[in-house]
Amino acid sequence: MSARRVYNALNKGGVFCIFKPKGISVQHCVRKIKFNLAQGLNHMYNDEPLKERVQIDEDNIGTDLPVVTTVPDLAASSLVLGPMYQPEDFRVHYCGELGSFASGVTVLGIGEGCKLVKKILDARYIHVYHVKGTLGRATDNFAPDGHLVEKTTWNHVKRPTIDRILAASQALHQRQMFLNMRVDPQSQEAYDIAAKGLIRPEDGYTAPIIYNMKCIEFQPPDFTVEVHCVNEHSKYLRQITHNVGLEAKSTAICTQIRRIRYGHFTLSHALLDKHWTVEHILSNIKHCKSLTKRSLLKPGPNMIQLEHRDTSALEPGDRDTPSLDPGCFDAEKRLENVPQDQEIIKNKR
Amino acid sequence: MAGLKQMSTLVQSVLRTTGNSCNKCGQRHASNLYRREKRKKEKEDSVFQHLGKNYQRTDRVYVWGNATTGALGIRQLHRPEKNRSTVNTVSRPRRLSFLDKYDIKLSDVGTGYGYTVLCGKSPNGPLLMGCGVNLDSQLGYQEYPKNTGRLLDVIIEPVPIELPLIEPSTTRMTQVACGRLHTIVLTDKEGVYTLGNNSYGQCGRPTVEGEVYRGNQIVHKLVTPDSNIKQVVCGLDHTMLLTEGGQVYSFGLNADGQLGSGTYQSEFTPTMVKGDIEGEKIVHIACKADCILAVSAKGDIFGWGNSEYNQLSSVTDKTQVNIPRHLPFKHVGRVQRVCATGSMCGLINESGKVFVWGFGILGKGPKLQQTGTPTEIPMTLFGNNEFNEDVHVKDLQCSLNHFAAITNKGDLYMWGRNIAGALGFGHKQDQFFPMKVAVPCEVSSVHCGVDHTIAVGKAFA
Repeated sequence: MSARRVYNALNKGGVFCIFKPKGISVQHCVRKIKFNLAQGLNHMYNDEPLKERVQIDEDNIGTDLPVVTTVPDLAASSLVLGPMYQPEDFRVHYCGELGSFASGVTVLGIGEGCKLVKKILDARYIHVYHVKGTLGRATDNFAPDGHLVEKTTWNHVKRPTIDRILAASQALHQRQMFLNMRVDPQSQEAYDIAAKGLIRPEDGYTAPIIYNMKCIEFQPPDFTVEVHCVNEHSKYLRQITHNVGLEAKSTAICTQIRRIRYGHFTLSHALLDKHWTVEHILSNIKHCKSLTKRSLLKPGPNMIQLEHRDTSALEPGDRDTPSLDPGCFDAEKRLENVPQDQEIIKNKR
Repeated sequence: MAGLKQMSTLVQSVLRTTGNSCNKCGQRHASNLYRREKRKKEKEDSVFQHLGKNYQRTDRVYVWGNATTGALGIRQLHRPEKNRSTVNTVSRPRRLSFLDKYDIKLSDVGTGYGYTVLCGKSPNGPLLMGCGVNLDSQLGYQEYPKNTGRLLDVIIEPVPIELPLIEPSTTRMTQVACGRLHTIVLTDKEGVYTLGNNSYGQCGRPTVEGEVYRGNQIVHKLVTPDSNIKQVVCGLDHTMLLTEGGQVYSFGLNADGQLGSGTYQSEFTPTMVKGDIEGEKIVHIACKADCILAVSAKGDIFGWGNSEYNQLSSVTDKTQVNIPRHLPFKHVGRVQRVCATGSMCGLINESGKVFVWGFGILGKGPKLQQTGTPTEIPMTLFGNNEFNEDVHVKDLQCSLNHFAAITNKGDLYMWGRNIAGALGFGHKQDQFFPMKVAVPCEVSSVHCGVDHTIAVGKAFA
């Protein structure tokens, strides 16, 4: 395939998703992807034979007719023009901020797919995080690298304590959910919406709303909380662990935040940073196409996307909700899995 | 050497910009460093303990609603601190710190018309306390200063109520029930005591013409036909007793047939309720006003009393039923618990679902105002969703105009008419579907008065 066709395909674009590593910002990831794409296309372009140019030789000895030959067109060579593709040639937008402290699934739109990014944001998908905390310390920014505020005892904290605190806090957020709906709470309409189930906020500017919180791992002093939420931000998630610590009559800091799901985009879709190449991104765009159907982006007052979840797009092994599968967090297993997935797609093609 | 000098000046300039430097010369002195390090080490070494010595999950009691009657038991609302004004309504849950101060553990709470009766255990022994309106001596004879005859009509902080017990140091008060103007106390070994207004015989003693109830010192010990009383329940002006054997006894006002005796004649002696519940083992009865519901061990419901609001319309067209009738609600399954307000009824079935019927704010939006058959309130409103599928309702309580439900997770949901902020949402607007009340504890029981609510629970940690 020629570089030109690949570039057109990328420009036509779509949505793909990456696994943002810890320590770098989403903007940095976008820069890196743009650079990788330009580099990959330039390699392809350089490997192609040069375009040929018709050369007419008029002053031929012995014959009256000019001789017509074709020669490589040096004007199109990258040695003359410089790199054919620049990072600025690609338009890449991202869905939602994910702080550099956090890592996890991030959805990006490329080319024409940038228009879908806003629609995905408006659909207000549920985001699922795994937030890890450690009891016994408090810092000024709730993270391990902050200034130490105090050290506390944590031996009395047991798993039921954390479960209770999380359940109560989550139930209060459900109340917040009702308050955020832009309907008169005294009306029949409000009842009808509330009776259907979870309600999503109208816009992205409300306070964070948590739909579910539970402790999935407790090995004192470490604990992991699974958080399903909307309109959250990185600092708020760090604050959750801090509040849990305070409620449990101790203190806690947040050691890790990992987004394991962004609506229908799960860890199994996400590209690791070593796979941020032209080939993998193209296959990922194809893979993610079914996740941005119009039915999945439908707006409405209720959280219907969980019911409408389209499982046909996923591989058979991924059909169960991957958010609860501990295997998908195993880094080694993931590294084995991802290339295989890509091969399968290639073979199908 | 020149290179070294340059290096040292560079290091110094870097040090200056990093802060923690001397104010005078801008350099970091060794003495400062030592002090800094020492302070840092002290912080690293000291470990705080936020727990008390005898750590355990403490009981917590929260109150909200109308404060003018004194039923909330918070002294500061009526006698505020300097530069504060008195509070008429508390529309959000507020901690009742009185009990923590004197280390009192509650066993039951009774909420009546503008007054509250608390029974429990203090370090000195069993204790019965009350606060709120005391115009009919429903909180006993309360005067201050002692032996002056100056009666306390409104009591703003819980005060002890003295019962004429034979062994006051060992006899525990297990249950309290409050009607409109009378109080019933159940003890573990000395039977049942009644206080307050007896104009219809609701205290279980003969009515006396022209008896003055304000400042009345009479505490009546009830002569019960059965010594094993399991539950005492008060309507507005009548009293019901449930025995361990499953029989129901009633006395008091009978204008609507509340006593279930087949007549409309008020009585002061406990008489056994007959009708359809005869032969059935009743395990739970509920009434707040004039309609009474009872649940049998088989899970059937029986009802009698007032039926003006279609509470019993499934079996009768009459507005007053003076004999217990079996209510044939097949679609609700086995019934666990019931509750009955003045015009609405509710039940929980064995799978923890809530059904309501009657007239008023039933909890299904403003459209549904009246129904004669139980309709289910969707469990999604009690927090049962895709994430939490094991949520069910374990307790349902009510007052005259609103309901309160507690889920197995310890969350409190309330809905109905919001009299004086008794729903605890921070406003005084009516609530047409169950909404969680922000009570900062794991709620174990809730008690609804006509315009105030008391929630008892345990701290999270």
